Amino acid sequence: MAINEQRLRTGSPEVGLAGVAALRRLADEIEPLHVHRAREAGWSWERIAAKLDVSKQAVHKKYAAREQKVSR
Amino acid sequence: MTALDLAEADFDTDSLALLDAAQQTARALDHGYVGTEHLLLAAAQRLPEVRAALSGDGLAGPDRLTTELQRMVAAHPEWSHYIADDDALAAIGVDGPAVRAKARAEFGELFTPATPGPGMTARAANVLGQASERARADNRLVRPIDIVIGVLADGDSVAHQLVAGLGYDPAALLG
Repeated sequence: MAINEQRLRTGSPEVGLAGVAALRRLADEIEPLHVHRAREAGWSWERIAAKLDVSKQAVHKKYAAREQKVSR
Repeated sequence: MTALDLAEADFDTDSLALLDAAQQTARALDHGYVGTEHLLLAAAQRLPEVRAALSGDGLAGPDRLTTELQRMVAAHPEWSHYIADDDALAAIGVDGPAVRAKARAEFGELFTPATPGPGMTARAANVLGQASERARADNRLVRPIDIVIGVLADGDSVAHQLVAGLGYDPAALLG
């Protein structure tokens, strides 16, 4: 994949922005696991939200239904 | 591990060989990613039932698929700008596969990576993830035909467009 490798080495804005977007997706893959672990350890939504630096409402909306499903 | 860094335990030997072949196909075409189209092309090259379904009436075989794909790629130059997540992460100093390996080691089956390996498009990754889920529900491993059915069932996939562009009904192809 010579063309792609060359593009990745150039340090272009395109590559940097793609990296940031990929970092967000990677965080989205990992975050639910740690939220689940925290809930299993008895953490409140408020405490989880504080650690994630988001509002309690945001974290509850994002994960409450999923957590109910997992714990069934 | 294969180059695609998948949860190998979910895939049978032939499926893993198909994934490697898809990566080789993408590389041979100088495409900087592995998409559903490369999975389909690899399947057409390796699986007699897929080759038969595509070429039974003399309309298309792997060569025709490749020609059609090259035509589609030429018509969509933006596709060649695709940067796979792990490549993009590496470019900013993040080791995506290492992060996923750590998550897999810590959380086991709870961890379902959205991007299974370097160079794979999110859509191809999604197809493989769904094939894996279905196989797990049936208490078996993913077979190559599961991957083919997955890429053709996704109406927005390049593989689907590729087959439809050649005049086939993707849904009926393997029915």
